Order: sequence, then C-alpha cells, then structure tokens
Amino acid sequence: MPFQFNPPDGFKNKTAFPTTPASEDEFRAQMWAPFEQVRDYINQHLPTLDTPSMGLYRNAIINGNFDVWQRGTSFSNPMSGTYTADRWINLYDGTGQQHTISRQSFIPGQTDVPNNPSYFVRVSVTSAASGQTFNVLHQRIESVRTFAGKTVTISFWAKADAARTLAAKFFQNFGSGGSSVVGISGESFNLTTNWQKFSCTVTIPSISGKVIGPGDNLGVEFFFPVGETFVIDIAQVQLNEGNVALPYQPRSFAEELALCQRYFEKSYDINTAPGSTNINGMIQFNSGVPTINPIYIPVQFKVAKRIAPTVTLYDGAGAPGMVYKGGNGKTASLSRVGVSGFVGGTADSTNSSDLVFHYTADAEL
Amino acid sequence: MYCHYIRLNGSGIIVHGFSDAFEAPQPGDILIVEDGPRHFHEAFPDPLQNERGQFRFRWADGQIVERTQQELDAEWAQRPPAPPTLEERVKATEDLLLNILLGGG
Repeated sequence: MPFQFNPPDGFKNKTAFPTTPASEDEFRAQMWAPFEQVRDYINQHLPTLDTPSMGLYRNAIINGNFDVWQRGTSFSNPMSGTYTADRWINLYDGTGQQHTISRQSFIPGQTDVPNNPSYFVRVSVTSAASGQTFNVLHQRIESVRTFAGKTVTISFWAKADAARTLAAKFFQNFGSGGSSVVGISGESFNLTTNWQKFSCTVTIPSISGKVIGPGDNLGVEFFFPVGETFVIDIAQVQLNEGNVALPYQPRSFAEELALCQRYFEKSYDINTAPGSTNINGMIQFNSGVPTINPIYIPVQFKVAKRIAPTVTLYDGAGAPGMVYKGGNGKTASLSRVGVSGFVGGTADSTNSSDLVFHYTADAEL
Repeated sequence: MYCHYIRLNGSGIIVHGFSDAFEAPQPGDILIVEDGPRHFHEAFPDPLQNERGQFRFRWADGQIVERTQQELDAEWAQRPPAPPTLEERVKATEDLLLNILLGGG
C-alpha cells in the first residue's frame, strides 16, 4: 500500500482552523495525532523494511511471471520430467493422464492481477490418471544453500475452473551423493474461479552437518489435485526472504531471459520452438572449399551455463542429432562442450564446404 | 532421478548416449545407469566421440570398452577418397591436352 498521510482536521483544513483546545491535554492530543499516524504506518510496515529490496533474496524464483517459454508455449501430454515454461518442470506419476501445460495471455488492462502481467501458466488435466500420488509444477533453485536457516514467504496469484486446492511445498535436495532430501511442508490453498493472491511463510532448515553434492537445489513446487480433472492458472510467483509477501516486482524481459539462459538457451528465435523448421538464427559456416573431412565450428553461448550442458544440434528440417552438410541432414558431432560454448559439426564424408545447424543447450537441474 | 541409456550400431559401437530427461529409450537401447543425474555426461563424463567425430567406445560383454587407436585409425583410413578439387581437375585436363598436342599416347 502506498504511503498516505492524512493529518487530522484543523492542521491543513483552514475551515476548521484554528481550533482552540479545550485543555492542555486536548492540545497535546491534537499535536501528537499526525505523529501517531506516521508511527503506526512505520510499525505496520516494519517487516517490509527488514526484507531485501533486490537480488536473489527479493525473488529467488526465475520466470515467476511466466514471460519466458523458450521450449514452446503449449505442451500436450508432456512426459514427467519435461521442462515447460523456462525453469518450470512438470513431474507426475500414475498412468493415463491427459494434460496440457500452456502459456495464456492476460487481457490488456485487466485489473484482477496487478502490475499488468502478460502471461500466466495454465495446467489443464482433461483425463485423470489412475494410481497417481503426485502431479506438480516444480522449480529447482540452484544451490541448497539458498535461504538455508531463513524464513521465506512464497506468494502467487491463482484461480481454477471450480473450487480446487493447490498446495505449495519445498524440498532441500542435497545433490548427487549428498544428504537425503528434506521436505518442508508449505500450505494448502483454496482456489476459486476468481484470481486471488495467496501466500505462506515457512522456515527453511539449516544445512549444518549436511553433505552437498553436484546438482543441489532448493525445490519449490505447486502440488496439484491428484487423480482428478481440473484447470488451474498461476501467475506472479515469488519467493522472498522474510515473513511477509513483498509486492511482486517483475523483471524486464531481457533480465528474465538472461537468468533463464543460464539453464537453457537456443539458437532459434525466442518465439520459435526447438525442432521447428525455421532458418532464423541458424549457425552457418562455409569454408569455401568442399571437403570430405569433418567440418566443425565453435559456438559461444549467450550466457555461461550452470554446468557443461546437454547440447542438441538440429538440421534445417528440425531433426535432432543432425546438421546440414551440403544441404542434407547428416549425423551431428559435438566436442569441447563446456559452460561457455561447444564445437559442433559433423564427421560425415559428404564432399561439401557448408555446415548449418540450430542448437539447444540444457544445463537444467 | 533419471535413467541413462546407450545405443549401438550393428557393429556394437556406441553411437549415442542419453538421459531419459531428454528422450525416451527405443527398443534395443541399453540401460547403463538408474537413479542418475539429469545429464548423461554427469553419469558418463567421457565424450563419446573423438576430435575426428569417431565413436570411441564399444559394448563388449556387458561393459563399455574404449576402442584402440589402431581400430580408430583403420576405420578412418576406410573413408572414401576425396574427389579432386577444381584445381586438380583443371591441371589434369591441361596435362591431357598437352599430351595430345605433343602427340603423346
């Protein structure tokens, strides 16, 4: 809430000023009234002043505004373990579930959710799974040290096609060879058909005495209803330090994209899904001299990766594991894959001078 | 956690390695790691190909075995010869014409 100071009548409103105090006590009360208002305002907002104003602890969630969808904007029946919106992975069990995870647009100028967000994520289960115990949208925040021993508050906006429950949970994952996963209960929320803001505060345990291995992370997840159909929409997810939900603070698209690209990037245009037939952004090289020998070219990543990523090359037809040499798809070869780039091409013996491919680089947790 | 697979060609050479985080296994793919990390190279750090783009490993007796340099060199030597360059073709044509003009064979 923005600061509003309303001095008592008489201090500014000349129609009631001057007022002759009936007593010294009344005079003191009149003089103190505005100071008490200021005091009350500060006291009510003290937790806000204690919390960080920027950086990781202001919002540790990346792509909480669901602005970045490098892998595509709609996923029909994705396998469990599929990344959908950038940084958000869908995990579920059971059999026979039919579901879609998609980017949805807010109507410009709507006021249900503040700050004029562009998008929200919709999880729609049209056929329920049998034997299901979990169905979640999960974000793994790099490093289990994140918020360890601190109080955090998660906040988000959500609605559903009917009265539904949605739970928020947390996990400390200590990585490969590390200590056992620690689960942290969050809260279950009652969604309606109208957008509402929800929040809950939890304390993330200390990591004292724990063993940390590669891939450690703090997991944050939305736990959907299991074994039933539903449509649930989520927007503006934030995880900040402290015991109050700070006002959602969107980042610029450029900032958010760069944060996402530490974990995934592609040569395709931002709105083109990997595997599409689209030449924009392709890596292209022509040596000028046809050769039957391998052709390789170095590629530098836009953003240094979390770890050496899993790189996939695509030819002009969008076939994974292939590149174009001489205008035809040939088996791709990769070497020197590191956090800053890779060398890609083909060992195919077609006598040609040109090499063309798209790539994706995935360093997700 | 993720499973990691390798794929062989007809000669038992490992031509692909992947995690099921990225693709689903096909019939014939061999499971080598269960409950592994997300990325294949985290489970099997050695590159599957060398600088020449040759596959470095074969599957033998249920084990991943590195191919010898001799084997790789022999495979490399079997590549088809490079077709002549434009300069080589012009030179050959010139030599032929010269030979005819000089009344050679």
